[in-house]
Amino acid sequence: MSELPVPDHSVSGNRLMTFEVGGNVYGLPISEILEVVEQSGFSCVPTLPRELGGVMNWHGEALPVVAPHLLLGGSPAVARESGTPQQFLVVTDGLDVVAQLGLPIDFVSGLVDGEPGRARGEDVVVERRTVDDRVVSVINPQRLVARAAKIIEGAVA
Amino acid sequence: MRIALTHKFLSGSLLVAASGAVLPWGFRTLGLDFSEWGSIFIALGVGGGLGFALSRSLGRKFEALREATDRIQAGDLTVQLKISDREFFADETDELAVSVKGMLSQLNTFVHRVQDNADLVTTAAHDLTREIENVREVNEGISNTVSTGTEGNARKRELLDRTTKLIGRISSDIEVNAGRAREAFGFAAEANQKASNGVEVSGLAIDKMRAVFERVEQTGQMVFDLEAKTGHVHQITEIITSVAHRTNLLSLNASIEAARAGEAGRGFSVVADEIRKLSESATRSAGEISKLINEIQSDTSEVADEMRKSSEVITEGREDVNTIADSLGEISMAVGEAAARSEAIFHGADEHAISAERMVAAMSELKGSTEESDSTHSEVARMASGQLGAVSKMVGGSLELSTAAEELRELLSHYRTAGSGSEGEGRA
Repeated sequence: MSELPVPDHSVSGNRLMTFEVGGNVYGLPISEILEVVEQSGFSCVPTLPRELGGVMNWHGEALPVVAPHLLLGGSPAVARESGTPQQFLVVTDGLDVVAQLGLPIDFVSGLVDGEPGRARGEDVVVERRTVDDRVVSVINPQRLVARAAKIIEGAVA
Repeated sequence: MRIALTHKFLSGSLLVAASGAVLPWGFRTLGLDFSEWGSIFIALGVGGGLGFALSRSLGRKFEALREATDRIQAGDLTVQLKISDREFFADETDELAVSVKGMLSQLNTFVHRVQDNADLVTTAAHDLTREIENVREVNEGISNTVSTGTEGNARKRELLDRTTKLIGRISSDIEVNAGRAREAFGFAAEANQKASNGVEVSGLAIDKMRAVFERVEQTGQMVFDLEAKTGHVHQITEIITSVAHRTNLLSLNASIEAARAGEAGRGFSVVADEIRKLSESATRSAGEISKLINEIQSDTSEVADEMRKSSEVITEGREDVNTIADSLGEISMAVGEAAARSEAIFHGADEHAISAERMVAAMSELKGSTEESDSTHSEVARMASGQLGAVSKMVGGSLELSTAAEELRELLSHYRTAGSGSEGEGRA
C-alpha cells in the first residue's frame, strides 16, 4: 500500500486536536478538521443501520457520519437520549478543504502541539504519544476518511 | 174445824160411854127390849167403829207422810203432799202435813237455789280455771319471752360488745383516714399551688414555643426563598456553563480557522487559545459553582424538605401545644377541684371522726342500757316465775273449787226438785 500524501502542517503550527471517544483519547491534526459542531444527533440513511452511521446537516450539506467504533475500534457507544447535543468533528482528508466525514465524539479535550507521525501500515491510528499522563492515539485523517468511505460503500451496497 | 186428837179420842170415849148409858134407856123408852149386854155391845160397836174410822184416817195420813218423807229422804223433792180442804176434823196430822209441805217447799227452793248457785259456781270455776289456764299460758309465754329476751339480751350484749369493738376500730380507722385526708388536703393544696405555678410557667413556655414556632416558620420561609434563589443561581450557572461551553467550542473553531489561516492566523490562534483557556477555566469554575450550587441546592432542598416536614410537625406541634395549654388549664382546674374536694373530704373526715366518737359513746350508753335492761329482764323473769307459781297454785285452787262444785252438783243431783223431773204425789 502506498503512503498517503503528507499535508503541509507548517502553517497550522503542527497542532493536534485531542478528543475522547469511549474513554480513549485520540488526536487529529487540526488542519484536517474543518469545524467542531455540536448538534443533536444525525439522520438515518436507508439501508444503513443507525449503529453504523447516517448523515448530518452541516451548513446545508449532507455530511456522512460513521460510528467511531467502526473507524477507531472499541465498543459501540452507548445510545444517547434523543435531543442530547453531541459533538462532531467535521474532518477532511487533508487533500482539499472539502468536508469528507462527520465523526461523532464524546468531547474535545484540547489542543496539543506536535506533528503527527508518519503513517505506516494500514491502521488508522498511526502513532501513540503521552500527553499529560494520558496516551493519545494520533489518527491519520486520510485513512480515517478512506475507512469511512469503505464502510459507507459496503453498507450501501 | 180443827179437833185435836186428844179431843177426838176423848169424844169417842165419851160417845162410847154415853152410848153405854143412853142406849139402854133409849131402848127402853122405845120399848125395845135389850139387855144390858146388848147395849154394851152396841156401844162397843159404835165405839169400835169410831175408833176404826179415826185410826184409819190417821193411818192414811201417817202413811202419806211416811211415804213423802221416804221420798224426801231418797232425794225426791218433787213429792206433792195433798192436803184436803174438806177435812172437817183436821187435827195435828194435818198440821204436820202442812208443815212438811211447807218444809218441802222451802227445801225445794233451797235446793233449787243451791243447784243454781252450784251451777254458777261450777261454770265460774270452769271459766276461772280456763281463764287461769290462759293466764298461766300467758304467764308462761311471758316467762318464755322474758327468758328468750334474756337470752336475746345476752346475744345483743355480745353483739354490742363486738359492735362496740368494731366501731372502736372503725373510729380509729376514721381517725387515721381523717389524718390521711388532712395530709392529702395538704398535698392537694400544695399540688394546686404547684399546678398553678406549673400552668403559669407552662403558659410562658407555650408562648415561647409559639414564638419559636413562628421563628422556625420564618426560617423555613427563608429557606424556601433560599431554595428558590439557589435554583435561580443554578439556572444562571447553567447559562454560564453553556456560554463557557459555547465559548470553548467557538475558541476551538477559532483555533481551527487560525490554523487554516496559516501564518496570518497565528496571532488569532493565540487569542483563540486564550479564549479557549478562559472558557475552559470558566467551564471548570462554572462546573465547580454548579457542583457547589447543586450541593447547596441539594442541601437546601433537604433543608426545605425538612422545613416542610418541620412545618407540618410545627402545625401539629402548635395544635399539640394548644391542646397542652388547654389540658394544663383543665389540669389546673381539676387539681383545684381535687383540692376543693380534698378539703371537703378532710372536713367530712373530721366530722366523721366526731360522729364516730359520738357513736362509740352512744354504743357505750347502749351497752350500759342493755345491761340495765338485762337486769330488769332478770327481775321480770324472777317475778314472772313467781307469778307463774302463784298462777299454778290458782289453777290448783280453781281445779279444787271446780271439783267441789262438781261434787256439790252431784250431791244436789240426788235431789229431784219440781221442774227437774217427774214429780211424785203424797196425800196426807
